[in-house]
Amino acid sequence: MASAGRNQRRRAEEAPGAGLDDLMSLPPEMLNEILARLPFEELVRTCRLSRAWRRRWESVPGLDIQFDDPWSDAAPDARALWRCSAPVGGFTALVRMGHFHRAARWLLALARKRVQKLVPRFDYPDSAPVVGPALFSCAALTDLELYGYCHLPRAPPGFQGFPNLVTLVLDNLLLRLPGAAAQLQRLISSAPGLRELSLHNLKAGRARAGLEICAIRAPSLRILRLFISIFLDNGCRLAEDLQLLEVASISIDALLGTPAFVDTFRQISNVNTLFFYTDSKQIKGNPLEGISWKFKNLRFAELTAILANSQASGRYFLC
Amino acid sequence: MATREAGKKMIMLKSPDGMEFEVEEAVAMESQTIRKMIEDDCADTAILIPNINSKILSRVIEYCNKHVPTTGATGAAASDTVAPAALAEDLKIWDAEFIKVNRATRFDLIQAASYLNIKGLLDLTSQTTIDTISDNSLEEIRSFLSTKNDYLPEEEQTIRRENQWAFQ
Repeated sequence: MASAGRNQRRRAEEAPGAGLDDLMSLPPEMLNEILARLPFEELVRTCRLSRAWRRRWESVPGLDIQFDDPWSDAAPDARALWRCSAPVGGFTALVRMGHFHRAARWLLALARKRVQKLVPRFDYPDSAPVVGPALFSCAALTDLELYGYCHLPRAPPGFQGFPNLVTLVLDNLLLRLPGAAAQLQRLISSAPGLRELSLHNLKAGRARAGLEICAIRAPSLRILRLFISIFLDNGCRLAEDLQLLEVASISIDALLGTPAFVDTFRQISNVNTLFFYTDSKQIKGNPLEGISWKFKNLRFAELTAILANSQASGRYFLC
Repeated sequence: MATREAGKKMIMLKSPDGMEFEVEEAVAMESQTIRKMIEDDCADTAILIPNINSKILSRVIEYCNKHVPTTGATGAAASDTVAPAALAEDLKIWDAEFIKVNRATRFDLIQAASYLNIKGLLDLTSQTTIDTISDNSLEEIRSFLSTKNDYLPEEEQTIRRENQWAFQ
């Protein structure tokens, strides 16, 4: 054929001399796209292929680094994260107890690498670590999800929040520091574009201390998960109507019998999908009694109640 | 612009080695690059596709033909009776066969997919390459990529030590 692939010829001519193999001959952006699909440790291992490959992995931008395989002990050396010369897209890790000290160092590196998505998971209820304070330096975060048991550290003076945050998930987070609720409140209100907020079993408060309130203001919110166990009120309250809210999943037995219970329903009354869960073993009467208005956008509702010996659940499709 | 069956616009694609391919506009528009040319009205007669020889271009067209959505106003009846999941499964099997090509062809397909901006084909070719890197030994990867190992043995040791955690 007249022109049988310019690139094939280029490979044949240059590959041996310049250390360019088939992949290295691709335009750098294209190679970046391909390499970004490799799991991080496999990407780093490409350094062994040849001299041209030795540091190639460091310049792949927007890596989504994941170490959340429960069957694997693999965990990166913080130095590897420092060596990334381009911004890191995301970091998801199952943090083992032996790696708590490393996690703080990962955060230091990730903050410098302008990480956008951070999803650490800490699975040890009896030895919850304090998240590394470098968390507050991750100013580029759009997605912060803290799963499992860990303490939110105290923010440094002048902390401006995460202004680009779109998703915030705090699951079993411990807010034991004095002022922690106010800190969480600032964190939420400093993100005007927050679309998804999940506060699941946050544990706040200290013995012999008064309840601190975290007043939630999130005008762009589309998805809300709010679970406040009947055994422990963590002080989280909606402070205003969530006009744009589409999906709410709530269990707020701790607020039952207080004005905050009915207020919460009023503030989420724009939703089209509602999941409500109540533990009726602990409460008496109909928890929804005080709700006298219509949810005008509601299309689907699932209401679940734990009764004395069984679980009752109702699903309603409203069209 | 040529028209064949009613309602089906045809587009002429030309490879630099002089071959011409007449394809349905919808098929050509699987390529975002060509779609943009058509939408910007730069595609009155024929579109010259530089850098992609006829052998590769015909494979690319074969891919687009298979992947063009068949539902919609001018859509064929074929997919109406098939469940989407079955269709997706069928495509996956077809893709796996399609990508069983020699090394040089695969890299040419990557470049073509990238230049023509065909996401599905770029995903398929990239993922196949990634799978090869993931599943094989160092020597096998080198031979697949035709990489010349220019490390001295002691250098290899140093590099392994430098990234010790990744080799555990």
